[in-house]
Amino acid sequence: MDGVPAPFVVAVSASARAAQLVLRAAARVTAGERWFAVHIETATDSRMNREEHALLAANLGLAEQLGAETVILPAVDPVGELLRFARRHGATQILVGKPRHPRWNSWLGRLSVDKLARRSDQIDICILSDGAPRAVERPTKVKPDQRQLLKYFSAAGLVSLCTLFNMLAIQPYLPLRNVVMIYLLGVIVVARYLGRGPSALAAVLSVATFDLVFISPLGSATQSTTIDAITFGVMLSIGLTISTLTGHLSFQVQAAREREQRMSALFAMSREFATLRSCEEIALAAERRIGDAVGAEATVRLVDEPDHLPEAARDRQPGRWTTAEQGIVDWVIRHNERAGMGTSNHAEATAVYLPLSAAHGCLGVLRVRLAQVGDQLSSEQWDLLKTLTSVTAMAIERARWVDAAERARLDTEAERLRNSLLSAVSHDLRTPLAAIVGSSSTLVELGEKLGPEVRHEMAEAILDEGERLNRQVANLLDMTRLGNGSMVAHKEWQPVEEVIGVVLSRLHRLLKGFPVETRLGPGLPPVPLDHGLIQQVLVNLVENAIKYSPPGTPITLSVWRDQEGVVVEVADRGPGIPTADLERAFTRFYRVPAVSDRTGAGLGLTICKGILKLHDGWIRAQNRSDGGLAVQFLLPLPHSYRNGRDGRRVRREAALESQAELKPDPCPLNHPS
Amino acid sequence: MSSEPSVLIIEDEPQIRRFLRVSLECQGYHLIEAQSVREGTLQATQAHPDIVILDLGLPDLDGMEFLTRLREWSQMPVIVLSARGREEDKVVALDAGANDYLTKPFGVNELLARLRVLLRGEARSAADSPIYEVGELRVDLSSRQVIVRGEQLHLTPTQYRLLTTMIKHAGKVLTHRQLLKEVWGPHSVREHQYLRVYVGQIRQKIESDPTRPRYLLTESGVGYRFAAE
Repeated sequence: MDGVPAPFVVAVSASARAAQLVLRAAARVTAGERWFAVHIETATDSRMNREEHALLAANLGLAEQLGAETVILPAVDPVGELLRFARRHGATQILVGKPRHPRWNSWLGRLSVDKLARRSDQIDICILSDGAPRAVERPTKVKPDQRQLLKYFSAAGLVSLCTLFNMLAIQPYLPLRNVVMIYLLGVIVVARYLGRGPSALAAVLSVATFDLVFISPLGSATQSTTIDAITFGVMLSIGLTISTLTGHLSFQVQAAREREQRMSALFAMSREFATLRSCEEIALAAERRIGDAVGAEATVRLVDEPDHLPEAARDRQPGRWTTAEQGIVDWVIRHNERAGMGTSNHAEATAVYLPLSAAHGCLGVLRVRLAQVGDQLSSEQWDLLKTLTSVTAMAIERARWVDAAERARLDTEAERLRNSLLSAVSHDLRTPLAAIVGSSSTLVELGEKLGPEVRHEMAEAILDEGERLNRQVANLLDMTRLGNGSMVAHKEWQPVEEVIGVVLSRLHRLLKGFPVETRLGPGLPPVPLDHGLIQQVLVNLVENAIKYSPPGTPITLSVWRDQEGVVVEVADRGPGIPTADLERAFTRFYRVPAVSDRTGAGLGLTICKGILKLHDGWIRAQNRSDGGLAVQFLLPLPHSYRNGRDGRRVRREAALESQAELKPDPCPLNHPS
Repeated sequence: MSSEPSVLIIEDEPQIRRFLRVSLECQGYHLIEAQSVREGTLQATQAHPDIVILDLGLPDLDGMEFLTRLREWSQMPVIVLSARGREEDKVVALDAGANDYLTKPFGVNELLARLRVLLRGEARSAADSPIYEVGELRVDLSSRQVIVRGEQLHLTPTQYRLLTTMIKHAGKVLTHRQLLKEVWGPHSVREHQYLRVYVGQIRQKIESDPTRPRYLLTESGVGYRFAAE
């Protein structure tokens, strides 16, 4: 078989002996061999008590720790199901324990070794002795509980009802055999609804009352013994058959319902996970879903990164994990194995700890704490938990990958931005530098050959480019400060017009050939502003206007009072900005497309926006209806100074203040144009 | 047609155009200005300049685009201006047919020297003198003689072919690729180490101090240039 040993199957029951069987089976395993520990769940399982459930869970857990894959197979035909499973997995051997049940037990649905051997065809059946003394096995007789007793009483009641009916309605009018039919009906009803024991009781009682009431009131019992025996036998077998069939049916229904519940829990959980993106959300959803599914309190604790140190386990709600649990959590993460109650590690704990294991190690720990201390998880719950944790782990792993991909994308984006900033900046700095170097080298090398006019032009070019370089460096510094959040606006109350005056005189060389018109609205109050920063905003706006407008066209600066503060507008007669791009113009590296002069990295408006944000104002651009671009920005007044019901007094004060400040220099806007 | 050489400048930065205009006009060049590839193409076809100064970063199209289009119909010399300072760009431009390059910022002397070399190269290919002389180096292409400081040198055929290839383009930068293609053939264009070895050997023979070459100059990252003057 290709060198890979064929897997084998061990049948595990809910008994102490099964643990021995598992141990002996594990001893036969060679390295790398697959083996399955299978529990065949039959109708009798529904009658298991708590200890038996715990035993089964422990046995399967033991098998899992020893390397087996554990499976619970609900089955009506245990032998057939086990063989089907073995064939499906290509197993060549089935290991079973020595049978301890009486032979007739197999009729009732228990696994029969004889039948197994007879139907196994090519599969070897190995019967292992467990070495345990026989006496230990006898399960203590379970006391019939009250509900069971009630069923027997009901059976008896039904029989008496039949008798009454027979006496009143059948016997006087119909032949005797109809009486038997009514009793049979009673037995069938009992068998259907009350189970095997009550149906047997009903059969016995029916025959007895039939004999006593309808046949031998006169004492001729001997004659009817044979008929009795036949009637009794038929009734008993019908009762047993029906009750067994009903039992099987209800077991199947039960199993199907449980499977369906498990599937729908799984389905709902994976569907919810699919909509969640962060590990935390998935962890929270998993807690809720798993908690509901197993009826216990479930808590997830995530490890920061796979294979990370355990102490990095992320505590979303620190209070929910005790320090004593830390050791268990560490152990689970390190070994990627479950621990806690019902397992062989840290079995003293009151909860169960399952690793959320994925391809790259343990992603976290799931703690499941049952509602009542001392309760044990059933094997079905273990099974369900196993499935749900693996689904959770997969979802968390997926979220981690998505995170990682997103981070990588952001890194690439940042890198791209850095590169384009770098190239833009180097272009911006190198162009004026090139002009300076070129012009000054012309002066140095060819100075004596140049006429005085040309020499002057060269010197002027050097001056202009030096100033441009200075502005660009200022912008770069602003950009850096805006970028790392270290830019602070030192606001002082002052009139905007003053800043405009300074800017226009600063740019007067650049403004040659551009007539500048300034329009000041009435009642302009001073506003809180950082002189240096607002100056930079105006310089950038005016420089843009110069850069993009044809020489000779006017540039208009307007200032007016607005509801919120003071609005400044710089308007030109350039080509404007495509309407679709008006918003984007304030993002980094934006340049007006299809305009020949590309000087500038596209930082100017971004810086303006940043500076106005520091002033709690806004900046926006719009194309003028008659051609050109108008950029407006607002320098807001504090709320108490704005127009409003109670703002009148302060407004007047502010107006007075503005007059006072404006008076000494009523015409600050003297500039060459 | 005027006798003064005409120069077409394709450059979008007005401040660079301004200084080029002033410095070139006072040196007796006739200047034609263009701000974009479209305008430049128009001027090149209409005005037939003697030489083109091309900025690689233009607003409408990449300067490379102009170069490849120009080379489809004209061999007029092109000097590429690049502000990027990235060797790859220059190499790509040179391999695409540019005759020389300047990295911004550059001095006016550098530019004038390049212009002179390219314009003279045009003239010389017409005259086709078999003797090349620069400094103490004299190469007679007809008799295959190389004389340095009065002594005749013995060069292997490959060394001789490399030297004469560079002399043919003296004053002009040649990329590794161009040299390899011309001397070793089109299949060897990636074998940069051949070139390094042979350049080293030629330097040993013609340079008085091979570590500070006088004739065979290295253009780092781009190629080699043979001193023209």
